[in-house]
Amino acid sequence: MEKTEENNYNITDLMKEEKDLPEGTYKLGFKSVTKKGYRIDEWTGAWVATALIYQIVTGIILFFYYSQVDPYASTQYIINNVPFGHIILTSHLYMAYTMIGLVYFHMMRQWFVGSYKGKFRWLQWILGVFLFLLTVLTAILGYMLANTAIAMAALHIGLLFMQRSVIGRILPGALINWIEAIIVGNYTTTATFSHLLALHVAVLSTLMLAIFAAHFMLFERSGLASEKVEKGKMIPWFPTNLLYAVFSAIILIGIVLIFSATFPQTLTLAYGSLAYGTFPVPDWYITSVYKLMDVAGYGLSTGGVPLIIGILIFMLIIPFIDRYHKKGVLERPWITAFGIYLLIGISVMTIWGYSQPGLTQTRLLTEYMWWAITLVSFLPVYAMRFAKKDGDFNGD
Amino acid sequence: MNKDNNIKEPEKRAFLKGAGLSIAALLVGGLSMERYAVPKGRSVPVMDNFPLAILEDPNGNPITTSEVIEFAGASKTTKSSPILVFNYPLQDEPTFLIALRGIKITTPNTSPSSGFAPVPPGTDAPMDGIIYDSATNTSILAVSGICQHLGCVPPFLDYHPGQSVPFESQLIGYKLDGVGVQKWPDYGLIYCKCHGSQYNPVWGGRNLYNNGPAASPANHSLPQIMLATDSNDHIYAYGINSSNAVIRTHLKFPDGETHGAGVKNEDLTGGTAIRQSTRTTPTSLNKYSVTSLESVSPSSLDVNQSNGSIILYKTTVVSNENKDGLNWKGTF
Ligand code: FES
Repeated sequence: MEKTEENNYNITDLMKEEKDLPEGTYKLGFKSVTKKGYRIDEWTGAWVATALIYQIVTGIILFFYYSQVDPYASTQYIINNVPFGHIILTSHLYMAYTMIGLVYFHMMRQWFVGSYKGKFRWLQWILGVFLFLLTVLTAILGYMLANTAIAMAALHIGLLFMQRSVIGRILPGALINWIEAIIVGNYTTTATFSHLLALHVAVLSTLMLAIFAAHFMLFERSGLASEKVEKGKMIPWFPTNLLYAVFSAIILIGIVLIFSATFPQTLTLAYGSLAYGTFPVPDWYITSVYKLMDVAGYGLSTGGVPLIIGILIFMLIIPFIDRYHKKGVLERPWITAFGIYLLIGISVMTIWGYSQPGLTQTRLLTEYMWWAITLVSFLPVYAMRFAKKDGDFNGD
Repeated sequence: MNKDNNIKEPEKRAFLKGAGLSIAALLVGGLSMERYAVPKGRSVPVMDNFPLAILEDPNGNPITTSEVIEFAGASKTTKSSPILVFNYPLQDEPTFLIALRGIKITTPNTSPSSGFAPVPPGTDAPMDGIIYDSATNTSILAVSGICQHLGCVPPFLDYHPGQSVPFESQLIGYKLDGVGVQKWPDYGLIYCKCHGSQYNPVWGGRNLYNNGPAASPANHSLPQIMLATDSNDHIYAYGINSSNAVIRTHLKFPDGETHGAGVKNEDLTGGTAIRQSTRTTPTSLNKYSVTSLESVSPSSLDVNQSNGSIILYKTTVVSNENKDGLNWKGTF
């Protein structure tokens, strides 16, 4: 008679490396890395993931008290009457800001290092671009949920934007109508907020989580772009990697909580309020896009929208058009220069959007600006590359 | 065959076929999502025609023209005047109520060609749908509070009278004591802080203003809402000036924007009706038409009816402040 298997009460064995996997097993592993893998710039993704998890947890807590029937009042109720409501709501907001900032950081870091190269990293990069889009879209929806005046202005702008910009003019009307229906239903207040809420808490966030899972598993599959496996130097995943991840998560959350406690969020004017001297400045992560729209007098069709679509397409295909064979910032000059161009462009537009809201610039001024940014980003990169080559040559 | 690739060719083909079929099935099934996402009430008009609505204060009392003039009348020397807003024709559709002292808003004597040519008011009768008080030489005007550019709403779109140049307009180059294009107009402008659209209330329903230092990104005037009074001096809104564009959020897709005569038939979909009033519909209303003051019976006004009788609606006029004992502060 066959004997039953023994129970193993030593839970830590769970974390031991599994050696004798049966033939044909499909492996998805948590990989060990060398000491170099614990460098702080290799952990940008882990922080974004931390932010995502924190948003899910606090989002669920807020979901208990938010009501799409009375969005503004229920938000006020969370702030004033729910125990810890104010700090949870504030930290949900600040973690969203942090998350977007970290997404930018994470993305630009991979851009400059060129870590979208090799193995399945091209796919990981493409999924990353979608995650970036989803993050920003989810944030915008969240910002509309409180039914503040600025939120409703943003909703109008968003809808009319789809209709009036090139997007609306190229895509068939029925499709736009459908997208609009997904966002606002039949446009009554209740329908609008039910839809916005569903999109924010379920649709986009689930999509984000799913794509994140794929993005993460692809990372575990391809490993760190910047290091090679070295025998005898690998640090076991458990407990080092796990603890490192947990500690860095705790630190990030701690920082955000400290900020939330120090600068609690104030709810802006409710939709329907009247007051002089209110500024229609959107949240910072979208200010650059907002400013692009009224810059240059190029309008929506020929200006901002095609430009943004162009940049997104460029980002999607960058793993395929980066044909440089070497790694390193100066070895891939035009990619690096374009990355700098984007960073400066986005910052300039953001600052401009804040300092001169609602101001149409002349075409000439705008053209000067873009050419200046181009010069500032391309010239130094090529100059430094030249200098470096020159130095290498003389050094030999 | 690649030697690392140990999947056999037929198996691979079967897998691809299966995957392809499932994706196709998903897509076909997904199409029915369209039905789910588009609610039944979408694109079904909330009411057949523009409502006849009496304007009330937040306490439910009808407001009078003399109250509006006294409370919010703006002249050339006004630094700030209370913002008055009511929802019309549907809920969540803000409309400005503006009173201008010392001016009779008249029908422009030229038709606006491209919208860029200045349209100076003629010297004739008051414009259609304006309330003109000859005793004080004051015009009361109602225009949509939804910007014709991308739909910004009050307080980002608001009226700044002659002596108040908002910060954003100063950035464009408007000056209080400027000359030529830089001069902030005598009665100021309705200015949209979102992207800088400008509307001149003095021009009534043809208010798109492109005569300043920078052009408006919007390319239509703010639609004019028609006003009339009854024998008690109460104010009623009864439709939209059809020489104008549609309210910005009423754009119907896929056919896009309509303006001109089609405006009246523009669908009143996507929203919630304003509330019905329990008052009785007045038997006659005074309204200014292009030619003169007329007394008309409400049934001739082409407003929303049910079984041949007019339904009277109500809408609340709210302000940003309480002033001189008038408690109109509220949210629209
Ligand atoms: S929404 Fe008013 S100018 Fe753009």
